[in-house]
Amino acid sequence: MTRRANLNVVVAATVLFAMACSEDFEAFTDVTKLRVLAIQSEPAELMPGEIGQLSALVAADDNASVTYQWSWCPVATSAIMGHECPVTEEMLLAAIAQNGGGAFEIPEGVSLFDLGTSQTAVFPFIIGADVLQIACTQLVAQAGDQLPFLPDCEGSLDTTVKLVVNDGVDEVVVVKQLNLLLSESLIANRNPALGTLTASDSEGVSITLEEAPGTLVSQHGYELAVSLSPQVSESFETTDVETGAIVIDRESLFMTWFISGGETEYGRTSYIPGETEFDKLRLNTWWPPRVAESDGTATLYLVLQDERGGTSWLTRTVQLQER
Amino acid sequence: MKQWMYMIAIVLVGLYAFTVRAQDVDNENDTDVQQPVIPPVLKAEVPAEYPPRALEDRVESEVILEIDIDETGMVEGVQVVTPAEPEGYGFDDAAVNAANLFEFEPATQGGMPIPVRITYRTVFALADEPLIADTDTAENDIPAAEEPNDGSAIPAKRVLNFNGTLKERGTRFPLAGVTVTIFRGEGNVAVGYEAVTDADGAFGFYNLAPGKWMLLAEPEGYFPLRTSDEVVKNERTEASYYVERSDYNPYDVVVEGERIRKEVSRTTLQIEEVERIPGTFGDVLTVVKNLPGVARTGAAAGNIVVRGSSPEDTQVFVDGVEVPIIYHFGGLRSVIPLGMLDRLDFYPGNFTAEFGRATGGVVDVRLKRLKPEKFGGYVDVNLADSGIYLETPLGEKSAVAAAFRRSYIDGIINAVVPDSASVNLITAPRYYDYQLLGTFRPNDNHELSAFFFGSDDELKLLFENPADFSPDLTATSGSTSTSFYRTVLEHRYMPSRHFENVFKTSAGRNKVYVGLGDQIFLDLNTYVAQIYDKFTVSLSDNVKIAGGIDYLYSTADARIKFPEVAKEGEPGGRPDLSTIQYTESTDQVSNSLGTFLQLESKLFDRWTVIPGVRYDYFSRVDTSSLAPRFNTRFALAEKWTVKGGVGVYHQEPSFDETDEVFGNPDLGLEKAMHYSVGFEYSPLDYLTLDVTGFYKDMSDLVSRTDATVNVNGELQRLNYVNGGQGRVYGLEVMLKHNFANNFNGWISYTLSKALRKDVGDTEWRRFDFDQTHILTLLGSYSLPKNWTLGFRWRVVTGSPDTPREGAVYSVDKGYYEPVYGRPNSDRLPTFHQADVRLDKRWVFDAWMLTAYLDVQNIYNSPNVTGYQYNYDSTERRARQGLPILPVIGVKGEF
Repeated sequence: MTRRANLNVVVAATVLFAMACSEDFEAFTDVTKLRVLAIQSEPAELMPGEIGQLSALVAADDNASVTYQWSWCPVATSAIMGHECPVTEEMLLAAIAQNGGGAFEIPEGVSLFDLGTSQTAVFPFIIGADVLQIACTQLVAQAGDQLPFLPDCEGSLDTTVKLVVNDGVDEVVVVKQLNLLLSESLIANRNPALGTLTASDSEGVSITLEEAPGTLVSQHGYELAVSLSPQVSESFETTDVETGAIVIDRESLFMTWFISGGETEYGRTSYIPGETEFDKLRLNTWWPPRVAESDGTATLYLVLQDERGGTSWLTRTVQLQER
Repeated sequence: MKQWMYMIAIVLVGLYAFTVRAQDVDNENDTDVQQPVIPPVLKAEVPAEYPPRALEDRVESEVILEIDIDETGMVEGVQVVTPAEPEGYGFDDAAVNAANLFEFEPATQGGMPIPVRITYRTVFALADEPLIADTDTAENDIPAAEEPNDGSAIPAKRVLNFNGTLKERGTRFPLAGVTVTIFRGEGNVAVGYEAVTDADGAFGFYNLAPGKWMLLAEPEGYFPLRTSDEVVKNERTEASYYVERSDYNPYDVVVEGERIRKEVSRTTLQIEEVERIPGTFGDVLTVVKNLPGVARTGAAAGNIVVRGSSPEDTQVFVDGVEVPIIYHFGGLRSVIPLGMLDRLDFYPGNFTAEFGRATGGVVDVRLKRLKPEKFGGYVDVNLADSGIYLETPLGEKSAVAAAFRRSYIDGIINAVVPDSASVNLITAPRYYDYQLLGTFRPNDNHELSAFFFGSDDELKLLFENPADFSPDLTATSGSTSTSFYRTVLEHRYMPSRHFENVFKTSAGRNKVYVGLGDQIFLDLNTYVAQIYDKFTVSLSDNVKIAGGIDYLYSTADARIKFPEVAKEGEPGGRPDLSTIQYTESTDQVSNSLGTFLQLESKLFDRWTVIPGVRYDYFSRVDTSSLAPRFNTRFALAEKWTVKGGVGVYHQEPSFDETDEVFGNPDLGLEKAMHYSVGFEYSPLDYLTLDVTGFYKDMSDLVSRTDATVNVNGELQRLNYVNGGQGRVYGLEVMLKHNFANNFNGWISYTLSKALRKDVGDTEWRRFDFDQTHILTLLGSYSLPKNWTLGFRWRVVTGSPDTPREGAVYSVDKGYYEPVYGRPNSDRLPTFHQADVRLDKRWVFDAWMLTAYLDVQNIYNSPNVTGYQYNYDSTERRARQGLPILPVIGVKGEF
């Protein structure tokens, strides 16, 4: 080879990325301004004809007036293009029409890409799988050079849901991949289920954190534990990238421990089958903030995600008291 | 009765003066540095016949001759410089006749025999009694002082009773041709004798009377030796004397012979002059970054960015052999230690047809042509690593050297990193390298050498909580390891000064592994072989033809599971692990054949013209290329030279760019046209000014594309096409002060603009390392008492930077993805930094100890190396380079 590979830079970048930054900045998990912490589609993946309920976990000032703008793109978008949708509604409709999908008609009042401005949105998978397959193929053939990723037109079609949230001060743009299953033989992913959250102090006193605020002592270390079944990590069929064979794999899970104040031992925890213990995922330690540094309350936002887009969350607010 | 029964004290008083009679060193040869001349040694001395009439009249005298000795050691001519007195006895003829029959071991320079002229004194002295020849033949070669001739009778037997050697203190190099005087008494009773040291620094005195004697030697460039020694009756006094050099600055032992300059732009760095440059830790490849045309890269970045070309466009050779890496861990230290090296040639552009497979520049690291006079070496200890280098002669025709170096950064890091850290270093950055070099010169026409060298780098990490690093990281460990070795065999054949052939063959292995568990990895195992042959035929003193072949073969096994990698012009940052792809291949053979031919002619004694052509074939892209090149130089006047060049250059895309999965196997060669013009001015022997303007036009550059292609009915990404363009132009200025007046240094300045146009773009953008102004001032001053003070100051325009215009939170990936502005449309602030280095050398009889303090960024300039952003790219802070950084080290040489 006449050129030297510097691919180890990629590994170094991956490894060092988190090490190198964030020390001087507010932590990713510190929620101090308008944030969209998660988007959930229920169900997590849509079979033809299903309707997806889209909701967002938004952390905003209680007094803020937050606006929502939901939209959808029939292909995966990319950061390099600013997550702008490279396909217009006209392109999609033309692709459908050119391939005998002329029978498809947009129901009245339904916009293909605009999903509304409510806190939640509905995504109707109303285009038939066969029509969508053909349209997808046509789109790739006609505009493949404009697509950041070439879609899988026969199995799981990666589409994008975009949410723009604005509180008058900040605007947050969030994207989520929404998989439309084009084959009836595929098994849809399910959102993982979160159980109860308990906080135990060093003396072994354990409190279950309910929706009604409990009370915790500021700057006191609490071991947090979420009740989770290992079955949350589903088995699924996937293509082994090395062999090309269909294999059964188990989902990796990761939990993000967003907090409105204080500190946690870990910002994120994960369960990687075969690599880490399941308990690593569900355990953390929290030192709630001082009362003076908050309004007397603190909020925990737990977001559990699997590697296939399944998401669920749990929010708990606690009252704070000084020791 | 034998004639010498009457006399003869014809004593070789000495080869006390000699000159290189015909300075016939071929400056065009690779032996570009004129080595010290080793004087001839008299091996067959024929006694002069004592003129009968003088014998009869008991007249004594002496004759001083000049003797011309050829390369074989035979006497070519003898001239009388100072005739005998009184005249008329025939002393002159007797001395000349005898000298004509002498035989010598020829004088040598750089291991090559050379003709010299020596001054020789023949003494005709009478003895009352016949002498008995010294039976100790071992001492017969030792030049000895004349025997006592203070009016007393010459003793019956010549007894060598004072035997000494004179060596340089610290290095133990023998001092040849030094007059040693031994004396005692004062006034009328004073008596003294002289001897001259031979090639081994040995000298001797015969029949010294017992008692205390004073010894004096005053070799030029050394502190005088004044000492005393005792001669004991019936014993031989043996002593070694070490003379300290007045200055151990290495430059004063190097006589730089300028090779004929063929290229428009070439800078040669002698190893001795780079060792003490601050901030480089004596690393010769790092010093390249201080030369004109080379952009500034990060403190530990191994990239060599030459005239606006990407780092991979510049080839680095070790003695003509391609090596996969030149730095440990991409920039910490170069993989070949200084002890093994002779010099470094740097060609920022317009290199001749001898070099190929590169469109940028060439760095050619040349190994030492081993010829140690003694067993020696050094031990180098610093904060990062320790190394040892040893060399020794093996008889008169062979020599061997070995070196080994290992880092201990791992030990330091493991001691510093707390146990509670979220990363456990199983193997912290650890590197070692090793070298073994041997040479054999069976005769003057052949030189054989073998070089075995290799390097090994390794880093292993364990993540206690992978999600803390990145939510998409599913591996709990990461590691990198890079190792390679090469065996290089070389035969240099020089049957005459009109022909030379250099044949080299090398073979070895490269092994690279980079991975994060099973999630991503690159596992490459490559066996490589190279055959190189270059011949040079001198048709006349002014016309030379050079040509050769350069064949590179490799067979590789590869397993690669990797995400998309940022290329030039693309913002780096977090790799997108959702783009992981996999490819695998075994026994993938790749060939590259290069041939070249060039004419080197000098017209009218002042106009050098070097036309040449190179042909290359690259099997990986199944493409060949023809590259004509032309360089010329014209000596306007004694101190002025104008120069210019134009040439075509090609290179293969990188291996990932032609891979079926990651790249485009249908890619072709990248191309560049180099143009340069300039002048050189040497107002003083030690001062040169080199000004070169250049323009580089690059085409067919590999550029990323989203375009698709239909492969067997399936639409696939092309990934890359040869659609990029590049344009670089600028001016390079180098004012170099070679070692003189205790100072050595240079000022280097580059003014340039480097642009790129990617496929599909209509506008030019800045190249990643487009730095408009690059100014470097550096120097090293030798102070008394073996102190040396070095400095370096750099001012460089900030590198281009791609701004972030926002970020979008990808909830699936768990992080904000930056939205970037136009590539390289912003710039980092101007970089400036000063470094100093202080060296102190202590000289002991048999070894030397050097300690140094190297302080980088002495005024703690807060240089910005980039920006780091908060999680959603709404805040940024400057990421600063090295703060003030003092580093100490010691080196022991023997």
